[in-house]
Amino acid sequence: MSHHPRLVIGSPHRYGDLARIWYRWVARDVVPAFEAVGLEVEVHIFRDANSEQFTTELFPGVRFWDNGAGMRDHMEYYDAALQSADCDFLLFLDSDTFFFDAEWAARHFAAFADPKVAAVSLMPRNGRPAMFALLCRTTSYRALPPPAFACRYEFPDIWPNGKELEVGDCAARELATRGQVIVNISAEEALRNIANFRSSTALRATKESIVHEMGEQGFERCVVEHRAYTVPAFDNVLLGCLYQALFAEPFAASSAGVHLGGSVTVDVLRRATRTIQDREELERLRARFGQSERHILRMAERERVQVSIPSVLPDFVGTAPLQKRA
Amino acid sequence: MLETGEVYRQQKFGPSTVNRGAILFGCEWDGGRFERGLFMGGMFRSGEFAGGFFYGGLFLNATWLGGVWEGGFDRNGLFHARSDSPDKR
Repeated sequence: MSHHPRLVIGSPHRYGDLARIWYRWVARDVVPAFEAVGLEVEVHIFRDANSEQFTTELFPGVRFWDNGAGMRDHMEYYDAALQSADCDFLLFLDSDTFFFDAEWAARHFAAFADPKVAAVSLMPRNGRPAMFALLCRTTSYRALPPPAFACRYEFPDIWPNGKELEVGDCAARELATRGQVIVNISAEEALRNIANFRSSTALRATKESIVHEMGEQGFERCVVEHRAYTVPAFDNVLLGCLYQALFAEPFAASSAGVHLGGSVTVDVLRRATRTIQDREELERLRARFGQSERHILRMAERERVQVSIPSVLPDFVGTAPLQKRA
Repeated sequence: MLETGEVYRQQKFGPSTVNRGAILFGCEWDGGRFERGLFMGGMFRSGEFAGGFFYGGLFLNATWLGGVWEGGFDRNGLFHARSDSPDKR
């Protein structure tokens, strides 16, 4: 009997609506692409919260993991999956990360023909390997002292000048000392092949805490004053456009069912961007928003649906001229 | 006294400060009592954390009395996951 290496596609999720989009892409494109290169593939979803939103009807064939001892949050999930998943390879694919061309991703599996290759980072962070879409050989990572993937803050005594190592950074360093290699796909190549709406989930999770402490108005104030929320807020607007086109339901809804009420509504985002006076900052945002718009439009094209993207920047001139604007 | 509705970024607070609901992004807390609010990133160097949310910062030589630990680093720079608050280690 032939033995196919086993691949688990693992992903931590918090919200069922985003997971619906994610799994639609994974089931349709990613699983077949990796099966085509000779792997036996299984999909695992870690339900970091809201487990009731993840029903087997919506996610057929998925194996679910829930938070608990040893897997208390998405940060611990990576190591728990490494230790417990019955597989030869793991593809960690973030909940907000989508392959335009899954066959491109699967072709990189060939790198493992070299026994020194421990992983392929399909999307870098600041030029270095990252966890957004990391295809890894389990034996290489299991040989590291656990928790292999844990993040760390080095030299806390000299904060804020210490070094914050993100999830997987310590592992990458340790692997290098052992002569193991992480193939690091360039940002340019990744941008052509991957859509990533970074921090869109984190924004929603953070909003839950902020509203708990200071209500909706307090959260709006944070959106205005803390510009790190602006891009993920717009990314949720875009994901909401796609989600509504696909499923005709509100995305990131509040408990009252308001579309984007669990993130940042278009009106609030417009009010926040109107307070930005620095033209250079506005131009940076325009460029960054344009990148996300192009990604959502490619996804919509793949889905054969029309999306209508609202303008949220003052004097906004669209970067997607073919698209009707609300 | 810091109150609900206030937002601070990258500021330092000393031993006479009490937080009753403000949100602190990337701040340094050195003494004082944190009763409510959010501490996001930053350095909780000393003092008491008695309530509110702690997100992703460093918790150095302070006292944990209560609140919600959503993840963060201890004095050695090791990460502790959600619910693994300093009083449970």
